[in-house]
Amino acid sequence: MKRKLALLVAALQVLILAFMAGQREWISRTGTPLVLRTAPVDPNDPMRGAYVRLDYDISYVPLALCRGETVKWTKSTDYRETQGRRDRVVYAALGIDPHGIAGVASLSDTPPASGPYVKGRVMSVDPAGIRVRYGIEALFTSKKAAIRTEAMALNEKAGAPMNVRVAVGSSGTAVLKDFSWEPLGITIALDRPPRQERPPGQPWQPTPLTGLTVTLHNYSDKDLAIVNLPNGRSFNLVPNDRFQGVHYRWAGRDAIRVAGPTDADILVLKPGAKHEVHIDLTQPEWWITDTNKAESEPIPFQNIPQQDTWSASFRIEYAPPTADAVRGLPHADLIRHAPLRSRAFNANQGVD
Amino acid sequence: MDKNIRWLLTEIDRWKAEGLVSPEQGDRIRQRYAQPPAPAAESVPWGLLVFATAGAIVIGLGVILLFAYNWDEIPKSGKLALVFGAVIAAHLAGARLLAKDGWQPKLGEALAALGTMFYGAGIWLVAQIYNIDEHYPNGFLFWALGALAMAWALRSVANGLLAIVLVVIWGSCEAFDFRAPQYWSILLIAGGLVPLAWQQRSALLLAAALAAIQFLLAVNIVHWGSGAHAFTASLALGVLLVAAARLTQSERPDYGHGAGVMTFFGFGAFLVCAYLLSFKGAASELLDWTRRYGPQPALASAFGWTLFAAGLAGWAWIARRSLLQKEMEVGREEWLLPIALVYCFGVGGLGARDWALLVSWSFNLMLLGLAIMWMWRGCQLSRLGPTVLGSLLLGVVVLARYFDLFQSLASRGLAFIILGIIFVAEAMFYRKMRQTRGGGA
Repeated sequence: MKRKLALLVAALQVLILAFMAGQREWISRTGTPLVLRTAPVDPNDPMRGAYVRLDYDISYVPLALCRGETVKWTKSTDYRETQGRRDRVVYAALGIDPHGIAGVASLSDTPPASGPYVKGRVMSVDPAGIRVRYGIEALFTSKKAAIRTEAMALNEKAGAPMNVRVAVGSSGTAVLKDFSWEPLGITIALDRPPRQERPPGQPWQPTPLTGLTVTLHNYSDKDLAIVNLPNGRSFNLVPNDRFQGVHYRWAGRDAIRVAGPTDADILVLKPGAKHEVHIDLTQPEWWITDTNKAESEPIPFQNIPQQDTWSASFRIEYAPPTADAVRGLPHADLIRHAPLRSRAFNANQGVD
Repeated sequence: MDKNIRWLLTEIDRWKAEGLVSPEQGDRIRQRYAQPPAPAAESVPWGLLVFATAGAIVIGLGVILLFAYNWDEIPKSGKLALVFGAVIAAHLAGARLLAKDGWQPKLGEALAALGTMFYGAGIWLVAQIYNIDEHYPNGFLFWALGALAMAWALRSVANGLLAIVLVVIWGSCEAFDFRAPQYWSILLIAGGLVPLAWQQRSALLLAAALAAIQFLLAVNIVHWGSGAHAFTASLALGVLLVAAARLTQSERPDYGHGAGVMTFFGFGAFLVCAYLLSFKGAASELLDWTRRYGPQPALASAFGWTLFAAGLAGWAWIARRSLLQKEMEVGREEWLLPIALVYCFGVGGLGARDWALLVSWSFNLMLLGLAIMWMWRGCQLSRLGPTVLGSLLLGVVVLARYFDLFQSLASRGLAFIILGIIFVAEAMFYRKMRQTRGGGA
């Protein structure tokens, strides 16, 4: 009898393992294929070894995309209620942009009626949005490969996002399959004027942010074309939504838009080549406004009150024109049209 | 053979030689106590089994770490075959030995424990292969459930111990890493492993289960409610365990080791709680249930009051058996435990923070009373255990109060002189009582 029971339990253990593996294998083979964007860091798990931690663009869902009960969750500041919401199941309805990258269309506590969606669990809730974990945030690999991936993210592929291929099952369970590097990368370098000596007895003053240099890198082994409109007009200033304290927005979005690109605006980057563009943030088209104030006038970064310098956190987005806008221009077929965002920076000269 | 019986058999030979007993009487006494030696084939090689079980668990840990290295050279199918093959092979080998006679089923248990370790390794390896990064404590939960089921299937202490460790890891991860304490972690051990320890009459498994319950109870209740709730619940558990120990001694004398374990954990929890309450500052904090900063204070209260009710019910049963029916004996000092329990829950329930001074005085007196009663009873019965325990308790209580270098030297000096006089008097009384009862000095 003991022996039979032991064999029964052993069979159950094997079945549980088979279910775990079988379910993921099935989703991997038959699930809806999607591409998600992420940037890597490199932690280590004592049970599963080295892995690459993946932080997706869809990991933080701003309040504007929350639906149903999830909207109420962001309103509460009660500690007990906030704690109680951790690990609640949520469903992110996904939309695919013209470049094939999946993004969150809405987040709700119930699955959407149609369209692809991915199931996740709430990590944290704040008044500006919800951070969600989808169970695909770790790419397990050998320690050597994990360290190599991290080094590439910092050096050879600096500023290039990872495109992660996942498969999503009918219940919203996602399985991470593999990843590739975006061939175009974007890095920024803030202008750093010489630091002034602090007069004795005077409080510390941050160095004002007056401009930055954006660099586009071709990391692929083929020619790539970029669209470089005059005066940095191929770039946008997008608020860093992942930092909940941000309450500044770009005021010059409409002012900067001009006519479409011409032949002279298209530059071909050879493999390994890069192109730098300087953006003068003191110019009015790069000024920003405080959304906490009803009638706030646009101001340059250097005039942001000292207590708000961390709250003015932005990314530079390279936003090339659409395929239609460049049709007929030379090298149009070499242009990558997917927008590209830099690391975040703030008026305090900090870079995340 | 028991060492006391071995001594007795040697003594019988001497008594016969010295003519204290006749040869016939000596043989009859020998027959009464002599145990036939176990046949060689039947004797269980405990050393082999203990090391085999420990080895199985260590091998399993090694395999987990080996898999964690993440061999890029092994394809996915190879890794899956490896883990499934290891689980199946270990369990089949274990099942094969279970069918044999003698000590080999015990080795089969060790192999089953190894299979369960491989099963755990398999959970993490499958997660690694498919890049699963979901709620990781669930991995420990499923592993623990596998170990628990195997423990019951084989009535295996080794698998039971493994299940306890895994449930504690699961509960701790949920509480510390996710701030989502799981009362199921306590119930799994209380309902799934304490009965197994009882059924197998295993003191080791019971000790591990009680230590785990005490730890998880404190951790979970601190997260649900507050430190005060965790404190009173721990006190109630201690009082309940002492009641359970006395009832076990009375009703199930064959599980004396288990009663000893319960007494150890019960008195351990009670003495720590009583010692803390003997300080005014601690008393005002630890009995203040109004300080609720956790998300589920009602659940914290429910656990505390349930243990309180169970503890009181146990002592009511003991009162009936010992005071009314006169069928069992309980030391007088042990009645301090239910009294302290009612007292603490009363103060906590009334929210009487202002009573901290009274509480601290009460528990000082309670500890002193307990120490003196243990010392007295130890001397009266010429038993070294309670005598030493009482003396230690008295010493700790006095030292804790008079060791502060900033206190008056006069009061410290006086306290140590009185303590020394008590110890000397105790030694003389102990010697006298031992001589009176016919023992050595």
